[in-house]
Amino acid sequence: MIETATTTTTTASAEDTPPVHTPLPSGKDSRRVRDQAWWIVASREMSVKIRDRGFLISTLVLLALILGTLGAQVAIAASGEKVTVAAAGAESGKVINAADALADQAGESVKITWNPMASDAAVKAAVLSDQVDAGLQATPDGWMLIGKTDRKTTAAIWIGAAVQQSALVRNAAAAGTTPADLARGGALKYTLLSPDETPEMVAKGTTTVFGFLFYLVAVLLGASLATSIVEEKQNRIVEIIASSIRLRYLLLGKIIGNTLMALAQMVVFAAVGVIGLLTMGKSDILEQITPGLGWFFLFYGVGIAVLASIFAAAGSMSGRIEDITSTTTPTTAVVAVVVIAGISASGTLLTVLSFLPLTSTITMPGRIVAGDTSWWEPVASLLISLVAAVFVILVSERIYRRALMQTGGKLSIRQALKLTD
Amino acid sequence: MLELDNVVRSFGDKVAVDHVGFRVADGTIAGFVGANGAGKTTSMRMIMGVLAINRGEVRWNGEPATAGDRRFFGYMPEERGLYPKQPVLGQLIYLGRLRGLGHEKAKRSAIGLLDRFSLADQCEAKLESLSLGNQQRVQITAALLGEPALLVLDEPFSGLDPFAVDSMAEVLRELADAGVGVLFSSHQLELVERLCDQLVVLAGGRVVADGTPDELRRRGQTRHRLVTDAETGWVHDVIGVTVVQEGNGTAVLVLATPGAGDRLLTEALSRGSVREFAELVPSVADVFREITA
Repeated sequence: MIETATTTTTTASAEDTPPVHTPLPSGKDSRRVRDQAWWIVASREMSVKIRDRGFLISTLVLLALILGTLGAQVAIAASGEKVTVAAAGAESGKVINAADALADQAGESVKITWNPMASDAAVKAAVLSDQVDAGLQATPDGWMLIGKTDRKTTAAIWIGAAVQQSALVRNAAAAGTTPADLARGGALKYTLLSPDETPEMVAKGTTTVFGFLFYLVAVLLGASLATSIVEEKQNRIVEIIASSIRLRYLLLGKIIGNTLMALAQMVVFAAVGVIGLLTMGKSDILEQITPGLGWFFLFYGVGIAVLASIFAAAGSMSGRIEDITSTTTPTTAVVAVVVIAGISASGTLLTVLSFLPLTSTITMPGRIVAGDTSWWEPVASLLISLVAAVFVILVSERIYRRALMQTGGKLSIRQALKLTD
Repeated sequence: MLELDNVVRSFGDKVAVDHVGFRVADGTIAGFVGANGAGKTTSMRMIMGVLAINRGEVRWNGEPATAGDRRFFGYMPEERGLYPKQPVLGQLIYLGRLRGLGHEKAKRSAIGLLDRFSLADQCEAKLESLSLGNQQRVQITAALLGEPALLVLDEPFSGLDPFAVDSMAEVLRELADAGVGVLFSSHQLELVERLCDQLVVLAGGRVVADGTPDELRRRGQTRHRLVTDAETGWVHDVIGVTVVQEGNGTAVLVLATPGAGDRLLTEALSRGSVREFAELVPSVADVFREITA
């Protein structure tokens, strides 16, 4: 029926005041939802994700990769350092044992063992049948190491040193002098001025590993975030949500939820890495990268938040699941460039990159590990990233809000920004 | 009471909703009809605050509708699916919480409604595993969470089998009887005519009719049908009668005055026997075609 002018006055004007018109008695008590709406969204994102098969599988695969890499290194460390050398005669045995002693003195972890043989022919046969790693034979003008297919370089260095030493002793005696006199002036010492600082290789390695993980997690996160946005858009559930809460809180909840999940993923990876390093007995490396680890999580959190909001905007520009790749690919490419630049940069470029948003995510922790930074540098870099994060989130929200009601195909950034609410 | 006052929305140069104004009183079921592209969905989105209004105002109980008010508006968008791969109850609780119900309250409300729709045993089932009719019931459940004061439903009957249509209609009637205002769009005009207390007809972004189904029907032209066992060619010569259609002993006519009917009947009886002489009241569908043409 057509309603004639019956006006009911209400006092409900503030957004938080529940209206007084509920026809049914209950349901108007605690509808103060806006403060925690983002958290409701974030916790749903997380609980859905933790049950998502794709997320679980990719996490497990990455874990397996990390464990595999560490395991392979342990295996190489364990097997590569043992060299069995076959040789006939007590003289050869002496050389081999001396080589092992020299390597041991130098702190080298190689273990060279003598496998006594009856004859040189037996030595050759043992090498050919893979019974030993190498063979040692005396020749008229010295010694000869024999191998089957590969040269055992470490063993060769120390056996060579032992051979030279024994020759030196013999020749010195023949010349009526001492080995010490012969070797005088030929000593070389290597002194590290800052032995407590992190070796460059460790710093570089840390950056590479972090960069690689950042890339992997970013790609996984981006794809799942964009998909969840397009899904909501495609079946219009976003309209129901938008009629209940502000889209800003939906976006914020998604970004926070997914960032937290990505951080949790990293914590698991890092924990496995730490356990791995401890099992390998590399606790010194651990000590060197631990301060960087904390910084890395800080930078990583901010970096992922920036990426997540870019991906959210990219996701909302696609109308259908099929369009996601084309709108998210540019972002993925940016991440790849960031990682490669971060890993390969050095000198001034590295310093500059460590202050730029996104690139700082992987370069600044590396610099901290290397001990190149004053206290204010990470702080300043983090602040720059935070400002950038807020800016990107604001722009993304604009795109998100405006593009979300569009269902036909995909939009360009320019089109998306031109849309009205 | 919901009130739209001269609401305007355009997309670029195209005016989708052009000074639309109507009211939906509490306890009223209002049908929103119009051809595709007439502006129904855009209007509903503006009522729900999902789309910004260019000009005009949406009012709730006489005041501009706020986000707080809208938390008491149940909404069902046109293309629906909710989260196909999520369990039914979980997503209803989520939507309830977003509307400001606590977790427990949202859960109780959702379970109560699912029970009402005989879906209590499907709480943990994934939405996509349900039949289309049942998915629609979950949809309406989402709109009904937390006892809304107004329901805005975009095509709630599309894709439902006749039984599901009946049960959905029953639910809407029940809610209206409890004082909830209902605004729904539909292309099923017979259903709209049967179910609605009020009809708002939209064409080209404008309201072209607004009233009860009876009022609307009366806007149409009443016709008469005459069936005889003789030829009816003579009807063309009767004064005050306009012939709409004639042949095979049947004529559909418009009578200018009641007297014309008497003349017509007398003439017919003199020529043979009359099988039928009846008033044809137009259906809402007929009137709809007439006024939106």
